[in-house]
Amino acid sequence: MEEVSRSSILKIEDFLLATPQEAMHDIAAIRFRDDILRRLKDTKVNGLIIDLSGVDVVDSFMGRTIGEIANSANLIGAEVAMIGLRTDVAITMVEMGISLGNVYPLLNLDLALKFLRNQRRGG
Amino acid sequence: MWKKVISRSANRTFDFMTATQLDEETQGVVTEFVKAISSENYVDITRPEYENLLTMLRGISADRAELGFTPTETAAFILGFKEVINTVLEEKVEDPKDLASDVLLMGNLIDKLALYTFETFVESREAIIKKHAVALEFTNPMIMVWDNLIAFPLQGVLDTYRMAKFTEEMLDAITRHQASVVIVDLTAIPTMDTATCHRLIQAIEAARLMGSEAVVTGISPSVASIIVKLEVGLKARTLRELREGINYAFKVMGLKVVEEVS
Repeated sequence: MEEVSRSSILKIEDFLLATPQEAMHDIAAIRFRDDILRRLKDTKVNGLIIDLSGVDVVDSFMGRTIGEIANSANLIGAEVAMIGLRTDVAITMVEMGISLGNVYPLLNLDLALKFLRNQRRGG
Repeated sequence: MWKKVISRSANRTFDFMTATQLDEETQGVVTEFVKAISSENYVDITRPEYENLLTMLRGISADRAELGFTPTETAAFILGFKEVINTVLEEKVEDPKDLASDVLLMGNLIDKLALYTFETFVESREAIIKKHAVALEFTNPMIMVWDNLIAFPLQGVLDTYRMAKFTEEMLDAITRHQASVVIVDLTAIPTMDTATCHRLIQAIEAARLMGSEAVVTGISPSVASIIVKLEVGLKARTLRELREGINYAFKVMGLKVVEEVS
């Protein structure tokens, strides 16, 4: 029986805003990834914003999954911004060596939208 | 006379306090002591008749801990009192047998008072040490340079513990002030060890993940060579002075400083 995902994926302007709301164990992380990629393809948006403010623990698998999402999104043709990272999560990610080179970390939703709009104009 | 005994055994006493202060203290203790022993209880200092005396001794030992007296000097204060009492007893009591038992009785009593004084002295000292430790923890001041621009002029000896604490403070400040640029100024840091340096690099990487750009200014040659040896690389703009850091931050934020034409 499949659980209902509590992560929301909303469309805002020309972008997707993905907000995981639950403790991201491995299965949830994979489902989150698949959901996002499906929506990216269906909606033909130009950008993806991952909001991690609801996540208080990130393990190495979750870190890798975010990297995978970003890589795949890039291939589909969308830039990826990350917002709402909590202080302790940021420290853990650095300690685990997760660098997320293809994700643009930004301070808040306003800046993320501004950033993605600029990217679109440039491309 | 007590005063003379004290100044003989602890000659630093007058570095910390005036003769008048010492006079007041000794007078006070003598008065309360006489009041307490007039109850003819010479043994149990936990009884109410000793309460005023104990309060006074507690105050004196706390003051001394604050002033920086050594344990010996504090002990000399109260033990000097024993010498005084013995002299008084020698003058007043004529029967040698009575004198011996009186000296013993008073000696025991003052030893108890001395232990009490000493205990409170140690307590006060511990409280002071704790206070200093707390003060040490609040040594990372943050400067709100401009809207969304914060700076941390680090100073003092940085170890991994302080660096870890700084990392947390910096990241919290980034969220709180929505700082798009954070300047870490190392002008006042002549050197730091490898582990601390590694932590600094991690702190800057964490700031990046939060969406803030870190600028490091004032890196000393010694710190620079440690960073190079680490081979991890400092993923931040590094500039010579805080001034240049602020200038760069303004550019990133799309701000411009213009001289007013008069």
